[in-house]
Amino acid sequence: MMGNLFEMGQFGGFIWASYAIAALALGWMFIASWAHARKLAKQLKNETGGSGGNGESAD
Amino acid sequence: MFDFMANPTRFMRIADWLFRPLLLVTAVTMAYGLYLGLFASPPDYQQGETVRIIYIHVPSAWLALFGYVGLGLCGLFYIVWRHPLADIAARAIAPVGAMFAFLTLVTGALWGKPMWGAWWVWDARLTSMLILFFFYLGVIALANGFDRPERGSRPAALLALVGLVNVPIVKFSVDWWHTLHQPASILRRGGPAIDASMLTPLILMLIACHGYFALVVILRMRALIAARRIANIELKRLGNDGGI
Repeated sequence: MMGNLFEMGQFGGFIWASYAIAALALGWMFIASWAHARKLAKQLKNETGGSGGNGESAD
Repeated sequence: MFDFMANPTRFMRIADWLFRPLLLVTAVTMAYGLYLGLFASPPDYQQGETVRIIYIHVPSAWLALFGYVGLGLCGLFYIVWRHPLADIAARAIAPVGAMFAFLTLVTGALWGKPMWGAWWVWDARLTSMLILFFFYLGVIALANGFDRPERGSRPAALLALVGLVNVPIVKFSVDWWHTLHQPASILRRGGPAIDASMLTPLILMLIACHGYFALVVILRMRALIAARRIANIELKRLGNDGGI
């Protein structure tokens, strides 16, 4: 049963490689973006003393 | 509408409010879509089990195109109206779109090898998608290739606009030229040509990937807005100290 699942009619290598690469890329980008946003939000909070710099222009 | 969305604080308040429901919808549709796509849907009568690659390949291709349309519109808003969020949105979208274009090419190669007997062919659809990926890389390089980031915004916006020409070429390449790539099977006259048992996981994965795209763009925009505010504060501090 598990063997069939991984083999997928001899094409398991292609199928699982597709999903593994996609999972790595999607997971890495989400975690990296989330961690970066969190780090900068904390830094901004420290710089502004907790107000988050609201009301300032972004550019 | 433009004025309403031009304030980064207001925009981020709306984006923050949307974030959690969007995360929930994305997680649920992705989990169920993966379950149906990998385990519950039947193999295709011609492609066999390799049809399962389509459930990640097609959403990646859609998002690569959708992302580039977003990038081009941001370029237009930045050049014509100097919309303050357009440059930030473009910088947030470009790497996510590039990643989806890369995934389209890689998963396409992994599908092509067992089906066509080749990892790559210089087919109109494949080549135009590769060009789209290069446009993404060009926009990213131009946006970040200057000592002061804002100097890269205008050339990057111009390249994003120029690259929009390639979007209909990617979409209609299978109709305009004789290609090895199969024609459109979802957005076509007469309705989708796919059986419901395969269309359901595909639509779920499309919803999930659109949700993922929006989530990462919100996170990246949040980071870019915070980085600019920090840079402004440091500049003001330097000015007050007589540093500049």
